[in-house]
Amino acid sequence: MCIASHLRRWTAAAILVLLPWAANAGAVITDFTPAHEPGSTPEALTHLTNKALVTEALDPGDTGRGKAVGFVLWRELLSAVSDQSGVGVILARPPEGQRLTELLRRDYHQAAVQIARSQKTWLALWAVVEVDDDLLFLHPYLSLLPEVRGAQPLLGLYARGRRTPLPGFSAELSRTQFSFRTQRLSLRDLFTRSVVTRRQARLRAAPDAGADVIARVPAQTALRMRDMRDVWAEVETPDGVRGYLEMREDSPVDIPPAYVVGRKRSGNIRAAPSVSAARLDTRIIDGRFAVLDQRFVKERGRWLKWYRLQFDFGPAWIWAGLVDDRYSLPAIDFVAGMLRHGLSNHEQAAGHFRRYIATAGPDARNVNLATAYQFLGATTLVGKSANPPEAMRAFDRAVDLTPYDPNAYALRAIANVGLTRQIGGPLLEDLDRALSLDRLNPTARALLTAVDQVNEDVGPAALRDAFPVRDRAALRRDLTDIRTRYGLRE
Amino acid sequence: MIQSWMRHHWSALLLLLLPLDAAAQAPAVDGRVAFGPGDTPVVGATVSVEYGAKLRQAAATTDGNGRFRLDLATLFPGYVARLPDVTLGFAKPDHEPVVRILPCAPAGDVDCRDLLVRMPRLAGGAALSDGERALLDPLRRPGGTTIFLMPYLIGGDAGTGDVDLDILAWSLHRIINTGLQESAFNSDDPLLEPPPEIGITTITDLAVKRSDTERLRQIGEFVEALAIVGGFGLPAGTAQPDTVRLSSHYFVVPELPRFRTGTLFIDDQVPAARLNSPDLYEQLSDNWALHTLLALSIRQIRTASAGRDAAALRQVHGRLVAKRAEYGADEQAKVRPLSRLIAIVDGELTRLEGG
Repeated sequence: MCIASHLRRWTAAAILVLLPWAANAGAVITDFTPAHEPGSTPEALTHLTNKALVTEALDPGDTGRGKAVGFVLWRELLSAVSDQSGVGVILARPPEGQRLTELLRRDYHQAAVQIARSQKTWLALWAVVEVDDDLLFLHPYLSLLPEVRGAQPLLGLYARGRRTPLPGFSAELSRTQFSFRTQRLSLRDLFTRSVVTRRQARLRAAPDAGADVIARVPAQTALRMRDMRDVWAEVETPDGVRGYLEMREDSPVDIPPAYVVGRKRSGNIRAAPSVSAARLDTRIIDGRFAVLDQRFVKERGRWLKWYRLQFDFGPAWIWAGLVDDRYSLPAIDFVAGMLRHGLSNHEQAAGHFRRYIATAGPDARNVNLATAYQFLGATTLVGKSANPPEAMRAFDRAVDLTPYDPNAYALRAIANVGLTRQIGGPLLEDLDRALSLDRLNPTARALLTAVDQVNEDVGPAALRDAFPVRDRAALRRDLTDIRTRYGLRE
Repeated sequence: MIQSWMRHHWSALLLLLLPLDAAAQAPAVDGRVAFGPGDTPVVGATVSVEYGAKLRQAAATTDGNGRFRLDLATLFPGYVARLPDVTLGFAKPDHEPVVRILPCAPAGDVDCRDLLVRMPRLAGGAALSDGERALLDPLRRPGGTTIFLMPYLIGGDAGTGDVDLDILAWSLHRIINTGLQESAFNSDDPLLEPPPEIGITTITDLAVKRSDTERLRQIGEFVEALAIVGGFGLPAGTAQPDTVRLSSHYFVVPELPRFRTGTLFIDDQVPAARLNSPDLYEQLSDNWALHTLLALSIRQIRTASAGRDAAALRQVHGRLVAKRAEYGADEQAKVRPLSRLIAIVDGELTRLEGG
């Protein structure tokens, strides 16, 4: 493996931190941090522990779309978590003139993991892009680094007042590397959309930093992006001037989602992005809308995001809370949900996982859907809007989708015990099924040991006190049967 | 009253029912099984069929001409699977097993009639000549982590290679190595090591017929290949003159005495102008990744068992369990070989560790 030598050449990481709107008017702080010396890649966003990394997409056909795709995915992920404080997203690009293909083409997930580790991010989203006529084939991948994420398990049972889960009654995220189904997108789907200037932007006559500046577009202007290749977006101003914008890490534009979908809630449609603007209509916001413009406005002490959408009667403004964003890849919601889960924002994390499940499509991989359901279960078991029935349905669905995954059964067993406080039939059935699939499975074996300790009244006091056992002799018999069946010693 | 209503609406009902019936009808699959360069019929081979979560073992047996016929509507009455793939398995004791995947029912776009299934005879065919050995010698890859890619021949054995091998080789490398990495790391076992990198080597100047599968196996064993990948394509028929019916094959070279993966064929129909579209290998990707894991595991089981290396067997076990964990209930064709191999590894571990 030559990852280390590749990494030494990895000198540029573009960084963007999105602060909560309340802290910074919904704007972004950008920073560009080149490597100061060969052999090192400075860690970006050192003050954050919940970070993701998006790499420029591999472009084996050298079509020039790799940089453009990476940039759009990076901005879409930022948009997806734009209201979440404590989250950072890093865009990783190779040094000028080098293709990321050279870095990742042999080592794939392992290279992504190494790059992510150097930046102490716990998620790395990367993709391969291929072009066939006007079709883009995007193969997205996700590599996780649980050790960077910290000790937080996916699901754990805690004794009152304790910060660590009861021994044996916790499950880590066992899957760390994902590939998503290929997305077929037209170039228009991905690159024809609105972008909004954050500050004055210079439009050039050609996709070249030395080309003439043909217009200076003021801040807060919605431009129509027509296409994007490498770092150059072809855009059109509202008054019809066409030119090229350089889309680097310090690019002066935001990229809102191309589309949003109504949440089927009643809402006001307004003439301007403000709660005090003239109300044009009040209706159930349902259906899919193209996003024409986006604003962050501080009103009554809160930063609110507004979208200008195309309605049947014409363009108008709506508060973003009435709609769900739709991203180019369902994987964006998958990653955004994980980032929010990492900060215990369970309610919004659950929203992302629900959206991933709804948009992943009929040919989504079972393993990815099952993971989304497991996160959905874990996020709906806790928090202010906990919904235990929905959580158990989610764990059941994960088992249905991946019936050969021992961890799916172990996770459901732990959730079941947590909800019922009963060590009995459902737990033992799931434990038995998990061990039948893999008698070496560490989560199931740890759970078996913990149940043994509860039954025999040994082990940590917190564990002994956690669950009442009605019939110790019967449980002892069941546990011995399981151990015998799978050749496990006491 | 009812009769009058029926008279008036009979034709409309018929119109409604006809398309429903056509849409729900699962197709018939038929063809012949043969071996060797002369396509000698394989008589008495059993044919199993899987469609979604449904399996029919020994659903048919080839007749004196090697012919078989399966009527999915009869075998799986009223059942429509989520995906159109139909997986056929062919078995006969003195022949290599063959698996053929056809996206044909009922939403698929592949014609499943009059198939030719090539089922190599075990230890068949003439030995490699000295000339062939000399030609192949530079290609030998001790260690067995290389897949050899042969040109796709469009137009049959006499056809030309219109599929770009460079694009295909790169895609194979990505699909197979990412798939292996996912199996290695998607496990609860923190001790799992990264899998070896699988190399892809193209062979373009070897005069061997794609139909001569016995020969391909001999070549694979000589160069210590993990697998040999290739394919051929024929015009789909006069009704679809611009469409090519492609059959991709994946020969797993390593074998175990109790486990022979055999050959996987995956059929597809592709517009002739889009033979290099990513659509082609996307259809193949998960099967290629799975069969590479099987091939690599077989090789590692052989080495680990010979060296009484329980730690290495645990690595194999972890990867196989992680791969199987990805699949759904309707992916039995993928789950079954994994389960059989896991059972073999568990048996070896029990033998080495004494329980």
